Amino acid sequence: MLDRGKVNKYLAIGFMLALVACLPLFVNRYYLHLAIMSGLGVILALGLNLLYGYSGQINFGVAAFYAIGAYAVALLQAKAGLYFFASLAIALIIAVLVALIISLPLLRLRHLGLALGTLAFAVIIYSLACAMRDFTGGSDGLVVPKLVLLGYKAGTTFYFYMVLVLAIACYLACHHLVSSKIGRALMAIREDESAALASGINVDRYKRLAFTINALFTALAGGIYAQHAGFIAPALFDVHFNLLGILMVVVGGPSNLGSVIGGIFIMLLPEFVIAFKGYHIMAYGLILVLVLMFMPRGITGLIKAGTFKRSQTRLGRSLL
Amino acid sequence: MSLLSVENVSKNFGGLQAVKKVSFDVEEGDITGIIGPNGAGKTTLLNLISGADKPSEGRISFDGERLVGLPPYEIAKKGIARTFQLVRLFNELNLLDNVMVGRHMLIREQTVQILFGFRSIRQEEQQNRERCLEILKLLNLEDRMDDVPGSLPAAQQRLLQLGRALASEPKLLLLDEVAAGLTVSEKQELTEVLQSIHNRGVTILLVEHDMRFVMNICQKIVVLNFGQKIAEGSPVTVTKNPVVIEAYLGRESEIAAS
Repeated sequence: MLDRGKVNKYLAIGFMLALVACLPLFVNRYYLHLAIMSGLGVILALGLNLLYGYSGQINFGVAAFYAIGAYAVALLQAKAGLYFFASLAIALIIAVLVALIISLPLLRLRHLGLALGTLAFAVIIYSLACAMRDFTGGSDGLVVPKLVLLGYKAGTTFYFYMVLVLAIACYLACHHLVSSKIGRALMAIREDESAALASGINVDRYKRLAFTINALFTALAGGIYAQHAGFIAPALFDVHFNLLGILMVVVGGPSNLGSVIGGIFIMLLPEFVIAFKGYHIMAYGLILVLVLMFMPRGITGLIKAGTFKRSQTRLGRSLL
Repeated sequence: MSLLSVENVSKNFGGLQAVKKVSFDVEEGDITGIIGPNGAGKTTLLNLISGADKPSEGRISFDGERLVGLPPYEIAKKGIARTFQLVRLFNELNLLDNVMVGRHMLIREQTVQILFGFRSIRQEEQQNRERCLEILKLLNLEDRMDDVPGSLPAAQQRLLQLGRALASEPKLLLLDEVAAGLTVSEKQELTEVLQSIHNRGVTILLVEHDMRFVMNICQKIVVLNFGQKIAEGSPVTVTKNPVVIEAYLGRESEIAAS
């Protein structure tokens, strides 16, 4: 059952992963930090892609769940004295519960309405983080207690491997999901809801599933970010962060591989557009418009088709 | 007991009464046709049965269970599959996946098993893929299984819709103008496909305005006009009914023309 093409593919993936795993041996802490951020971007993009790329439901409020993950991890340690891993687990449970509740009204909306609704939710969370000064430290932010593992302070290398393992786990979970009946149901919902309903698909349930996985992955990335960075403040989760999430999926392309490429690309982009200084958000906007117009299926779509063409796909149409 | 029974069903859209107190039964194993001129309420009636719309009043029961108020996916689970008059396909999925979506309810994969990539999932997918390939073969579409629906001619897109509906192994198949826009030879081919589906024990309820197509294939015909049932019976009795001839078929010459 082993054909040569598959073996070669697995060998290539294994080799690349081994190379990535050796990164801490070669690079300094700053580059390792960038690698961690890229990994968090991949985790976030994979979840959002399941919702936006596969089921066609936009979430313009990923910052909300990133903030929920980050603040829960920080506060449960700082105020409740819990250990990091327990805090992270509880943070994920909180994110899932919030997603299940908020999805009831939000997923009744579609297209632009859904984009605005999710964005409004992110603004509410942002405002809460600013306003609950006694609890969250307001706009001054919050210091996250250092993680001590077996008597040693966990360093950048630890977070690097943690993110690497989790990103791979998330990728595999998404890969299994999209090659099952769940993936087909999500795509059917994206293509035609009436036909999906008539085929026995509980459309609301699958939308909620994708939304919840999106929230779970995003909160996971946020929680690890808080611990790795050691400091969080509302400014990190402002409106512009929501754009980053969408950019990852759109630039990478609506597939799991696209999420990996998009997540890494967008997280590393600030390093390249650093010359624009305060105008880098404009650069993001420009990239989004250009990609939607000329690479509707993102980087992976471009590689597959080998050509630029005007936006034909639903992903592009739904935004432009 | 009838497989499907529609009792005193009405549907109002604002001031317009699209369906008025319609009652009829569909017997198990029959091919039943609903005919009527444009705007007679045929598609609305089908939408009421499939749950896409809710009746303003009346009862619909299937296999002894009430359907009114259930969402479309619950009605599908009870064994009612449908096609749409304006073809609705999943345009970015290939033909095989389009049919696989139709099989959704019969694929026993649990979310947790899927997330962790259990080996049983692959077997389940393989078995269901084979069943869907058989359906594509029945419709002569198996050579195109990797193509997207948009690359097919309209007639074959209609067949693919039928294939997706069949994939759920329904007890009752609702077909909305399945022969519309087909050439004579395509209609002949479709008739054969429907006969073979019927021979497998599937009950069919079809909405149509092509008279000849309906006459050839149906055991029973219900005639609607302006939302009301004006006649019901075998194709022969219905075509001889003066009310039908006047209200729907118009002048004799038009019958001959169709």
